[in-house]
Amino acid sequence: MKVELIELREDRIRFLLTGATAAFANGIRRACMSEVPTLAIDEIRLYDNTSVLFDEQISLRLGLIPLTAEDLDVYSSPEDCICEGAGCPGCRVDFILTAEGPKMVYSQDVVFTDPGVKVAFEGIPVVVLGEGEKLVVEGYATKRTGSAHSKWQSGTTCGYKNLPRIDIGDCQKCGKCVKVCPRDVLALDEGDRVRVVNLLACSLCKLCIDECDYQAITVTPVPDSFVLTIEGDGSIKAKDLVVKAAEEIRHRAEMIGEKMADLS
Amino acid sequence: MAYRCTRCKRTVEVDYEYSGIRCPYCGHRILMKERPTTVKKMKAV
Repeated sequence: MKVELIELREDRIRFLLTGATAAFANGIRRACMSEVPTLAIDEIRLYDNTSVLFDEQISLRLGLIPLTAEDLDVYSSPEDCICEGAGCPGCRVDFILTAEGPKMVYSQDVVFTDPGVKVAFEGIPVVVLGEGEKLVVEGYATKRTGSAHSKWQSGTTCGYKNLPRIDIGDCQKCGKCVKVCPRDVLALDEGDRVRVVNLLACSLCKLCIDECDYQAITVTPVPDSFVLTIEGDGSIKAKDLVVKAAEEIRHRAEMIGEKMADLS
Repeated sequence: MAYRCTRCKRTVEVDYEYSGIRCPYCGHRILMKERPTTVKKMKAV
């Protein structure tokens, strides 16, 4: 198996995976979405809410704010904690939010007791408070995975496609395929011959095949090569997200191995 | 249970013996239920 980096940003990673099965690529994608733990506001206690929004809407909006932690490993999920889910500083981060109008309440107004825990993006609007309106909330965040609820999902847009293989045979230089391609994968070179300029952009729509009157183009998916695009919600770096997803797959595979060894 | 008259803004007690809801001070018939002073606990979903 070979991994080749295509694009790396703080919140997004794109890489080429060769020599793997579709099941493995899909395993990585699914682990990024539902098995990498992150923090999210779990429960709230409302002391006052005279804003125009219902209490339930406020609680939903707070729950969906992505949170980052300097060291996420110091927290354990409530199920695995020594307190057995009763709630302790090892599995909970308390927060408080107080605001009085007129003002707009933003995500950065949520203050956590652990200074290492912050909102991933400042400036997410929560509610507009009018003159004399108040919002007093406290509560706690917990660490869970996306399989519990999508608010704990650190990988948001995760997908893969097969790497395309484009073969150009007896080209008659009409240029129709270049015009029809919606992603500018093909271009005409100096001798008006069609050549592939941006292979990774190809979505295998095969419009070029239909457009070519001479059946000179073939587009086929390479069965063991995949282009994976993983985008996070900002709570964790995209690179770390993939690493943690891979660790999770390995951990599960090892668990199966141990169980099987016990049987024999 | 305390209610608040939407016209005169006064806190009023509703007389359940009397059929119909009406503010005893101004006679307005639209009353608002006040938010309870207890802490409301809920899941953030």
